[in-house]
Amino acid sequence: MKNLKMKSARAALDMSQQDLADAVQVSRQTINAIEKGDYNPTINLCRSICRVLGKTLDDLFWEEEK
Amino acid sequence: MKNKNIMTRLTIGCCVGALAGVLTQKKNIQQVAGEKEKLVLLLSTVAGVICGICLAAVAVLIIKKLGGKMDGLYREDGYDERQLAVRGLAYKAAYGTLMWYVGIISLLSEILDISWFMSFSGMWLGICLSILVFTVLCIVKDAYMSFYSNAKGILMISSFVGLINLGIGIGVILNRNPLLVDGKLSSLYINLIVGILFCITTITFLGKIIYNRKHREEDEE
Repeated sequence: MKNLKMKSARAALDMSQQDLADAVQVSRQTINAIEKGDYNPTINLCRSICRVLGKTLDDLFWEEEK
Repeated sequence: MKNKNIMTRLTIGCCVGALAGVLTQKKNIQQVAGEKEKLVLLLSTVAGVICGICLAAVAVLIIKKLGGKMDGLYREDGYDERQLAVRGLAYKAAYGTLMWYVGIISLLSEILDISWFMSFSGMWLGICLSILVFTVLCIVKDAYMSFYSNAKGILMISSFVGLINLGIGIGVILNRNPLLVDGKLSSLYINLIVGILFCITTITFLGKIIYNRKHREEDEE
């Protein structure tokens, strides 16, 4: 499932995938895979992404129950 | 320091190659009657190792000049968690490939009495196959290059090694050397096998770089 919350949070800060990748020290393809829902990051990477984007884990990675 | 690391690895590679040459020539050395000829063969092997070290030094210098940075071309600590996971799966697949290969050629040899691959070059074919599986999987899943890798440097080295080996391999074919010697794959064809491996790797890597560049904007949207 696509992570649109992360994508919009990144876009709101006017950051490219490469910018975010550099900030959290992963490859651009890894950020792309997370946004496309092809890869589930570890909690450490989630925390790093949240820190850079100024969001909480719930904001970016918590899925609301339907 | 980083260049020293690359030099060491390239030198080790060249020495292993020379050692492989010695092993394949062992029979020839033993068959040579005269002490003088034995000495010539041994000296030529030593010259091969020295030549390999010089080639490694020249390769590093050329890549540094043309390819820019050489930062940790082979560093293993520059992969992120996704890449490490992919590389783990690729190692597993490569290991499986080698096991299947060994199993199949053993069965062919024992049951059907086909021992084409039960030779030094047959063993190399298996190693090359498993390396190919590992490399292609890593390239396709974007886990081949670490943060410190230089795509230009990797492309230059792999195409250089591929073309040299392919050239030697084609020379062997043009000289009409037999593919099978005593019912086994001739060691003269190792260069061709290695050449094909490196060419496939280079083409896959180049294709992936072009694909990533084309789809980069799509990914951002």
